Amino acid sequence: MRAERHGRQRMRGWRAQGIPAPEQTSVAQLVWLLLLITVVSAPHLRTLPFWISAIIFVAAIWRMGAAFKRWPMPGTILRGTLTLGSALAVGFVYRQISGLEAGSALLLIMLALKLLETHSARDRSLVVLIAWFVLFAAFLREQSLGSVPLLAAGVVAGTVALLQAARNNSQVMTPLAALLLTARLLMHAVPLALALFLLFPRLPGPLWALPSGAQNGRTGLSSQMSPGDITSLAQSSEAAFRVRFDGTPPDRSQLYWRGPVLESFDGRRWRALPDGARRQKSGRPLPPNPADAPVYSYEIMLEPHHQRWLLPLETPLSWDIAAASLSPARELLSARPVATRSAWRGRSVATPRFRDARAPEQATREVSAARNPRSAALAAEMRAAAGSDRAYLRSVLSMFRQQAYYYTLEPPPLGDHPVDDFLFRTRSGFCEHYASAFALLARAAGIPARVVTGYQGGEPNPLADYWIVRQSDAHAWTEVWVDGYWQRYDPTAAVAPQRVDAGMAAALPGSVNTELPLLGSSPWFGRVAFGWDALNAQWDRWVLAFGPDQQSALLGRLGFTSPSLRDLALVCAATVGIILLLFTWLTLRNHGAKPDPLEQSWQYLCKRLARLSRPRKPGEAPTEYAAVLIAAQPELAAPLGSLTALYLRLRYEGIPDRAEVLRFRRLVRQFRLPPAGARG
Amino acid sequence: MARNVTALANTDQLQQARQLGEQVNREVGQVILGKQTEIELAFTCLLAGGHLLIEDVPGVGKTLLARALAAVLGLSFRRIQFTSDMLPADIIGMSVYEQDNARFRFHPGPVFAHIVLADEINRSTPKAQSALLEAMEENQVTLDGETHPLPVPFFVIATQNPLHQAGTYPLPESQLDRFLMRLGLGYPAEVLERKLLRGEDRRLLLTDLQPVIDSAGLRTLQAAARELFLSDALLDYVQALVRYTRQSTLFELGLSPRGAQDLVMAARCLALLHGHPGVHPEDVKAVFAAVAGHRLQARPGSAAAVRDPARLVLESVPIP
Repeated sequence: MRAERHGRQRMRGWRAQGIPAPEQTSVAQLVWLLLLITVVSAPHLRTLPFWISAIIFVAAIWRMGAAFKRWPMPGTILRGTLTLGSALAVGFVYRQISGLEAGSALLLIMLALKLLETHSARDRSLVVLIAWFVLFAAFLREQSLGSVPLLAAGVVAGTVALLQAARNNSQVMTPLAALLLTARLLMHAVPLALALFLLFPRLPGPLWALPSGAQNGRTGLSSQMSPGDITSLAQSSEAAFRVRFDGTPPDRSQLYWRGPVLESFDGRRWRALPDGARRQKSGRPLPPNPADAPVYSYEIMLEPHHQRWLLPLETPLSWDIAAASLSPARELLSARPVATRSAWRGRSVATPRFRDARAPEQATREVSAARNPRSAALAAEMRAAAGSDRAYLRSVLSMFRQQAYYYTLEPPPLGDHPVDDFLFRTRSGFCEHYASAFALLARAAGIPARVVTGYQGGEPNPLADYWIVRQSDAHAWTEVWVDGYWQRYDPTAAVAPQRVDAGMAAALPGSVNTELPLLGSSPWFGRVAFGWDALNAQWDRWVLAFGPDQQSALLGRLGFTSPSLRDLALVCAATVGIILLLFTWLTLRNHGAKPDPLEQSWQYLCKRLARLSRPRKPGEAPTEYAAVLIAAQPELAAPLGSLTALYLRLRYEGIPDRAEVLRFRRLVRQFRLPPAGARG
Repeated sequence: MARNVTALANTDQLQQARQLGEQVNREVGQVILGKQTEIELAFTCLLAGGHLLIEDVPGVGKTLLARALAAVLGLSFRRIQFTSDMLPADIIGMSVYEQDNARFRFHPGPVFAHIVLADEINRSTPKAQSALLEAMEENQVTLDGETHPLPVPFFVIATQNPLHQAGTYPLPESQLDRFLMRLGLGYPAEVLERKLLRGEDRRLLLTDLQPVIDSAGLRTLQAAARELFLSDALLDYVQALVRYTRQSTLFELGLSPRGAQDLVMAARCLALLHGHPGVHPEDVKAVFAAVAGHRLQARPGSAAAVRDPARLVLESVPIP
């Protein structure tokens, strides 16, 4: 306690003279730390509660005040209370203190509080290391191209701050010198990073289990629907996936991207059949039908949606993901949920019907007797009038087209008999309402029918060779089984043909949806937006979607066909090793300092002598060091004196003779430290 | 001893040089007590052909040191007491019209001597100061288009009071750079001061001093110093020191190339006086504070502004 007080007084004494004590943090170092904290916390602040930003801000101001205006730093008790209090607050707000969100919050708070007790080099380095952690959390949160500049700034600031923090405060580098050194260090790191990125063994799926927070509220498609679900999707302009066609793409109205197929209907809600409830086995790709329909091959870059649907162009013939399979309802499913950006290639025909001679599932015929009685009556009446199934379906479509049915994204709520309500009362809705009503009318007339959801259309990027399919292109349509064929009917197209021909924005000219980007409203903005999306697509395709498949393809091109994990690890280790050796060689060559035998022996001697009392200080000349040792151990005078003299003679008094150097080396080896008892 | 070493200076010369160095130390040391390091550095400075600035409070023996050095070296000695009303002519001399032959004749000033003591140089105006500094730089005096060479060797020992004293004109940095070394003497140790108080007037001892070397011997020594071996390792060290002063945030201004040259030259001469056939890092360290101290300008607020900047540099730069 006394000693501590003494220490603190000395510290105050230093400060009073306006001199930074050797261990203290200089203003330049502090500024770098604050800059680093600003940069690394920026990506988090958008999602974290306001009070955390406030804590960081107050801590930064306080620390600056302490540096510039000599404000007192908070004492142990206050710091302890703050630490405990904010940890509790985080636990209270998030109900946990780990996980991405809560963990980032906690790290940021601790970073800010650590700033308030930062004096020594060790404290500074600790702050920098925590900041690196926060930066890494930001990377977990967001890996898009847009986040790269800020992450890169964080890496630069982190490196500079680390360089400065580790220095004695009298040796702080000028900003320019520090930045140049950082640039050099990072340049050295680039080849290593590249090698590790390309060659480090990739595991299928994300390398780390993303904390649960990342999945919340991101579901694009669902295995159930009751009219109203898709409204929220329709308002988001986020990309669902991007697709590149080899050759001419099909007409826009043929672009049906097939997602979940909903077969069970209870009169209000559509559901996918669970696998166990099916009679049919898995489907397999059927030959193109009709045989002369054009086959389109394409590559899809899928945004992670944490579901299994791969969203092929209807109807898929083949795909390059081995683990993917076609469900009985002809949904293309990957083996596990799509949790990372991934790319796959497929071939499809864009026909509205395909043959399936198997009897449809019983569920596709079921009509709930308790609900929607008027619809059932209408169906019976119209079927009787039509004469054939096909004629009946056509008459339903023309009913939608000719009577007063409206397309809107903000339909009025529906009551207990939703289809009845829709058909006879509200008469307005969007794709789900029409698909649902059409399928029910078909079933009520005894025709098997199901609802297919997915995306329709897309937007070609004029600056690059691909289409963007957005969440706002989500769609639902109907499939009806007639004469051994599943035939697609899109009742929405009957009501609002523009929806299918030109997209959502064209279908709703009156109700301008403000959340849709105003692409096309200003040509310049449109170009920028498309250019940015094209860049993003490249980033996603080449960087984020680089997974095990792409890696083995790359290695295949290098001559390693189907490498095992062990081969990969070996190739990776070898490449990294070669790069490191190359750097070492370059460094040594540039400095011209091959450690010559004389210098080696001297270093060795110093290392041994260090055990006697203390290591040689960097600026300590040989005789000075020897004098210190001899003062402590007079019996060393003779041997050490002659060794030092010989070393000085060889090193500084002429070009050393090889034999003499060898003699020095021998003498150093023969030199015996005094016995342990004599040390001290 | 140096059998297997390609030594440039021969062993006898080194032996002589060392003995001479010891002799000078001993002789001058009789007059100035307990200042062996400073005496040695002053002699080194002279040997290196540079000029010396001694900066200290009055009465610590600055003048005495200069006179003693002149005495043991057997060189002519003049003293110029600088005052605030001094004119350049009082230093370099003037042309006087002689009626006999109707011509101007040059009357050399006090600067025409081997060793010139410029006492309290910062008490005169910059005009007078620069007259001396020009002479130091050119080793000659030019008046009315006529050039008068100064004697060889020419060695100026300037003393100055610490700058904050009243009525002084501090030398600007560019002129400080003209001095090879700056030394401070400091108060003598208690024991030695007692001896000083008890003993006779040191000034009287000056007359007892015998010259130990003449100017020809001095030239031989200077030639030998220039031939001392400089290893790559040592030059690495010197360059590391210089680089540090230029790159560190401690200083506004680092060492100039002239400063670096002076550092090497001073280290050579000290090595010679120690009898080393090559320059050791110890020699560089020993002269570094004196050679670099007045040329480094500490950045205000940095640690160097308070602590001894030269020592900070020496502690930070590793010896290769």
